[in-house]
Amino acid sequence: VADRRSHARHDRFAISAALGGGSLPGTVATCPACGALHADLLAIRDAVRCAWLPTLPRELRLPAVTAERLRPSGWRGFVRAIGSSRDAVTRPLAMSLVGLGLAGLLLTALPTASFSFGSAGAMRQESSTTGDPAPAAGAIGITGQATTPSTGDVDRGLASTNASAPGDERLLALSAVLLASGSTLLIVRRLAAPQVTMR
Amino acid sequence: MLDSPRFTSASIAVRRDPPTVEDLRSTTVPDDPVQRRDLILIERARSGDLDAFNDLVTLYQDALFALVVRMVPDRDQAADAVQEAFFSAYRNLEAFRGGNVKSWLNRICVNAAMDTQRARKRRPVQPYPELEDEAWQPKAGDETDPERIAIHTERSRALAAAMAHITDDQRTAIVLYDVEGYDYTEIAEMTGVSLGTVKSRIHRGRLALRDLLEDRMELFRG
Repeated sequence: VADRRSHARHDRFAISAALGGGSLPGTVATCPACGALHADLLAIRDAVRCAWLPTLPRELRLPAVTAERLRPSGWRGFVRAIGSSRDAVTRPLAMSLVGLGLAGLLLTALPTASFSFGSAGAMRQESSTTGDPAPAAGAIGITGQATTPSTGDVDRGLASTNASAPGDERLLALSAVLLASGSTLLIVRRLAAPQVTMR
Repeated sequence: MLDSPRFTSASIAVRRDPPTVEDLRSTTVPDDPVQRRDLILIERARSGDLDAFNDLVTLYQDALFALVVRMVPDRDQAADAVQEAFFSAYRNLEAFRGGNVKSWLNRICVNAAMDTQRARKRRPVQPYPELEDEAWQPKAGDETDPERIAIHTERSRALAAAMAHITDDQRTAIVLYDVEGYDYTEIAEMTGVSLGTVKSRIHRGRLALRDLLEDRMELFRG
């Protein structure tokens, strides 16, 4: 009983740790229960190493069909490559294209907006100096007065709008292409990722 | 299977050669003929030679199954896990950065086995349903003495049943440490837990095995 009581206070973890090359606790020599535990742990470890195991139930060689699905060639391989998590190029590229496209769209939209406000202000200023009572077309909604601008003012505004149109259209087209390319790349990545299946 | 010279030498090779991270393809040619052969097969597989990859499968499937079946106590699920590991290896051939091919495959297999363990927790099955199966019999020629065969078979069954009763984490840690020869740090890295947790799992697992087998220890002595 005394042995069992004292054995309960001995460090069983240290005896297990000694199997991995740690120093053997002194209790293994002095306590019979610790000595038996150490011997049993050694025997179990050796048995785990050389236990008979079930045999492999089937051949695991890859058939050609499975191999083609796992590493597809041609365009499927390309789609799979850009869908993989290891691909560090296409995602930033797609995000950049989308960003540039959006920025381009904003740039083409902002001058038009500032033109309409700017021309409205200019025309209002012009009408006050010339004494023309008719306010500019852009002032509608800002001033709350639904009035008709003079024909000359409208012509001047349209002329200046048409003058900046070719450059804006090119930028708009380029932005749309960039946005579409980036979005397509993101969609392809998204669609490609789930196609990677084990079997 | 485990007593075969091929498996024994492969296990020792893993213990003595920790996985390396450098790319051996462009710098050095390994002196070890087994490694050289494996690297050649990998290169050929990368260039689309399926037969080369299947040669690797044939070379390592038994050893990898022996590793996984200790971690996943179900023969068919263990075979599935090894199959998944080979699929994963084939799909990620480009990710192999040189070093020991067997260690690379071992790590993939350990991950596949842990995935299977997690799946088993969701869908539990009877552990070792094929305990009475002929598959447990030793290979012809390994043992000749019927009494020794009987003792060895009984010991293996008792051990398998006890292994099935400890936790998956403990079993994995014990197999990786005691059988595969990985050190604590490598196991911590492979299983994604701290060093202390690995040690705790190994020691608790061993003590749990001893408690489970206490009444049958005569099978293991001598």
